[in-house]
Amino acid sequence: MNSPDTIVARPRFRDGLAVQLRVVGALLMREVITRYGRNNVGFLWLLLEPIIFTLGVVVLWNLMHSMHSFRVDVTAFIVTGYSSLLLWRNCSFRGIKAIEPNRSLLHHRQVKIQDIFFARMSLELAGVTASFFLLMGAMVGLGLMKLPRDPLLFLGGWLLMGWFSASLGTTLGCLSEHSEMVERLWHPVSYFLLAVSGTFYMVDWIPPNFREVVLWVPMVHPIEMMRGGYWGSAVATHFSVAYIAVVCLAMTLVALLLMADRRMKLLA
Amino acid sequence: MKPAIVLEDVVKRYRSRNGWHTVLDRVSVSLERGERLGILGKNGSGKSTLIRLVSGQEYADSGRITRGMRVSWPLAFSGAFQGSLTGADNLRFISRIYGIDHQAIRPFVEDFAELGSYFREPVKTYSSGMQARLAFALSLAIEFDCYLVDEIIAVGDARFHEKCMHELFEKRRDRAFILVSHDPGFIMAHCTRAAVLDGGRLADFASVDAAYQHYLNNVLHMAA
Repeated sequence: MNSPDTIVARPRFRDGLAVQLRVVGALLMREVITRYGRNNVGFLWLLLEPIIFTLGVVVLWNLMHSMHSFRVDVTAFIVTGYSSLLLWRNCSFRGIKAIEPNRSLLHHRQVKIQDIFFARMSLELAGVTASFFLLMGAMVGLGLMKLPRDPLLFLGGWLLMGWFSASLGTTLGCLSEHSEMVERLWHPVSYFLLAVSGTFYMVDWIPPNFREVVLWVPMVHPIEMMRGGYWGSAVATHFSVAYIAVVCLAMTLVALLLMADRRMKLLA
Repeated sequence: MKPAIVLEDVVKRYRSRNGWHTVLDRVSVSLERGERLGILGKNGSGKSTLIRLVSGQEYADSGRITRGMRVSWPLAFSGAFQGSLTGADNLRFISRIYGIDHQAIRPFVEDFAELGSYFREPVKTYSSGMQARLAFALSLAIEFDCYLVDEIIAVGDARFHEKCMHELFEKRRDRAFILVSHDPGFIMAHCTRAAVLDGGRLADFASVDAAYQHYLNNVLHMAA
């Protein structure tokens, strides 16, 4: 009755997939419980946390720029920029701390580090995405924002930012298992990246000879896409889908290779 | 019938500050259903590593491990659960990953672990005795064909220890076991076969007595 599936010498792909889905589901439940508590208000934090952050910055920037006219609508500028920032910031910092609290669960053969990262990154992406669309919907409903002119470009930017964030979080998470320096360095590096990520500027606003430099920063591209999708031809944007896609693909490959490193000593 | 668990030329190395260290050097052993294999070795001889490889937590650097039956995770008095979760949450987690209805095994776990209302408190608030009881209750709640037992030491009171031994070796007398220990007394009391792990090499013996003699003379260098 309470016997687990027989683990056969040569497992079939379908059985493996079923096990993996169960494991990821169980890990998701486990993450939600410890991160947000078990009552309903606790779960709402998944949505509310990013909204509160973004709203705070929206209010601040609106106050700062109420004296003189800003180049674009401040509310839309911050909502698109800051939500994108939360995506890669949250994923990277949650990725770095992914293994430690779950280490003991690796005692079960069916729990792999791939599952731990998959569950954690999925939860992070789902939380920030849901809160972003909720906030956006509320802003549109209140007349503080409009619907994107080019929804496809807008969504494309968000999806690429999500892909970038999850692969970044997983890569950093694996690397931090090899060296504690990764976590220490990521704090200042991410702070610097925050400044150049495009959250608080658009590429067209800076002198042309600096544009080429900032376009090396991957986060700039999806944010430009989102803003291009929001305002349409009303703003000039600079981005390359090919560049950010190549960066995401490469980092995904690195993350997969790092996770497949069977010599990583995970159980002390 | 083919043996249920087979290890062929298994090698495991770890990197330390002083370079690569071979923990298991071409280890081969097999286990039939219902057999009880004891593995004797000093502390640090690689016993726990061997158990982790058999359980599938870690992978061999070379060689083959075949599991033809349901093998448990290494039973011990700690580990295998998450500290921020409550006892009940850990039960649900383990039920989910093994594909079992948690309602079905909950009465057994609650009864065996004797945690009372602490069952609904985070595991990190437990005393070591309480953690041990929960760990053991969870590992017994799911039925396996082969149990891996890593160095059972007396934790908590003698009565609980007795209860664990009864559940494992009396109620599950038809199952296979791999026990690892540095204590020959424990191996001799529960095993039908034994092997000695020393310097990364595993020497298999037909009888527990022969393994014991070898362990005494050639590993501990004590005259019998």
